[in-house]
Amino acid sequence: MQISRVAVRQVRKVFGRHPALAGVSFELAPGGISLLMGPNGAGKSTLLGILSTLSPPTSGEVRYGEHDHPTAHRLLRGRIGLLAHDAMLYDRMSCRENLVFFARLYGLSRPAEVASRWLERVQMQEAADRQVSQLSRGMLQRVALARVLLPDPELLLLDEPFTGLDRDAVALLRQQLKQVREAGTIILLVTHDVEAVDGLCDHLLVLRRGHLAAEHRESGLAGRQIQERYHAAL
Amino acid sequence: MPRSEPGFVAQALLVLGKDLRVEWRSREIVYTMVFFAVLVVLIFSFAFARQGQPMHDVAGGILWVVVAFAGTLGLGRFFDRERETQRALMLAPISRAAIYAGKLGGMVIFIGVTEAVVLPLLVLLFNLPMTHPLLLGGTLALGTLGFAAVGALFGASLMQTRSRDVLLGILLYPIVTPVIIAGAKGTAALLATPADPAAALVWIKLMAIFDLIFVSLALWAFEPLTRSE
Repeated sequence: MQISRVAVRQVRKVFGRHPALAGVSFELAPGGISLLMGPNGAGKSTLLGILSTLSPPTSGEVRYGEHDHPTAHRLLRGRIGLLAHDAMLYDRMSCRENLVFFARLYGLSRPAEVASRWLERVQMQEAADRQVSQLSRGMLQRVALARVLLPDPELLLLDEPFTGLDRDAVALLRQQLKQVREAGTIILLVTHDVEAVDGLCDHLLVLRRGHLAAEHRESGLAGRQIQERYHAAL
Repeated sequence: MPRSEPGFVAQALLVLGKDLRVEWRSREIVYTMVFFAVLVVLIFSFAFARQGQPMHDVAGGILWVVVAFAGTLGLGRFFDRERETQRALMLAPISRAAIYAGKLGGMVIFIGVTEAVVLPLLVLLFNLPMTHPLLLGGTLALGTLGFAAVGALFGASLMQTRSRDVLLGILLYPIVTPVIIAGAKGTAALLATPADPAAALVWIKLMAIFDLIFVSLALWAFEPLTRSE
């Protein structure tokens, strides 16, 4: 494991004159799931962009184990998984072709087998050869989850992963997240669906206007507790 | 999970193969480019006629105007397709230069297909002599590479920009103008009666130098230009 923990120290991000993040500090450790909440414009997606290494902070420091942000950007590519609003899949390719393509990009041995295994894990074997453009939102999200998990990321960033999912798909995603957590992956999740994360997270971060308004660590945070702490922080 | 990350060429071929597969299924880029190019050639063949006969000496210029505009049309759509998936591609443990090389290969092929349709049409409509097909092929290949090298760089870097269609033209044309001029002059020398292969060779060498500079600079600049702010 190269990403033993993630340390965010006084991170600022400014777009023009507007500070999207105004000095945010926290730590993420393996074996738990952190939940990031905040109203629209609080800086959640900006923070995920920085943590994914795709966007540099204006100032402050982000450390991934021994690596700082610029080094991580070069050396830790492939160890960070990002699941965002967009599924990041190719519409004109089938689910299987998409997963095989990404497995090859990540240099995984036997990419076809890896793709089949993941299609099974996200219960998409029956639609494996359908083009992504023909999938429903829930099916798309399952394949996107397989794409992001197939290289076994050490840091997993999820931006509203429960949007558009039915109850079965939510249960499947929760189950996958528990498995990934047990494997030692650091997970940061952004969602407003507190029912979907009931009892799943043990670290709550609340962002408000670019500042960290509250931070709580408590094992198996219930949806109701999350809601209360979120509203208290705002 | 065991990994053996692919080498530079394998990475570029993966990106190229994926783009060709997507295009083979939609055919929207090549069809749009070819349709536009054929229309432009037809219009010019009527516009540039003297006493009912098409003018030979403008054919080289027409060919490269077609390459530039059809190429820009294709570039916009080619990179628009990657907007949603760009972050997944950028997070993969592959060289950014390899992504660029794959994209460059795709654009060269799309423009090449357009040229393969347009050139015979030009020869037919303008009654052109084809005395030096190899040199003409070399001129087209080098000019296409130069145009696509700059186009792929700006196309990728403007992917997340709102007015990318306008900006692409503004940034691209001033830089590729030397290649377009060299291509037009070299082609005109080869399609003239009599043909002037010596003059064409001078333009071909000039394009080779441009290509070397553009491709090297683009391979180096691709990573910083595509990093999001």
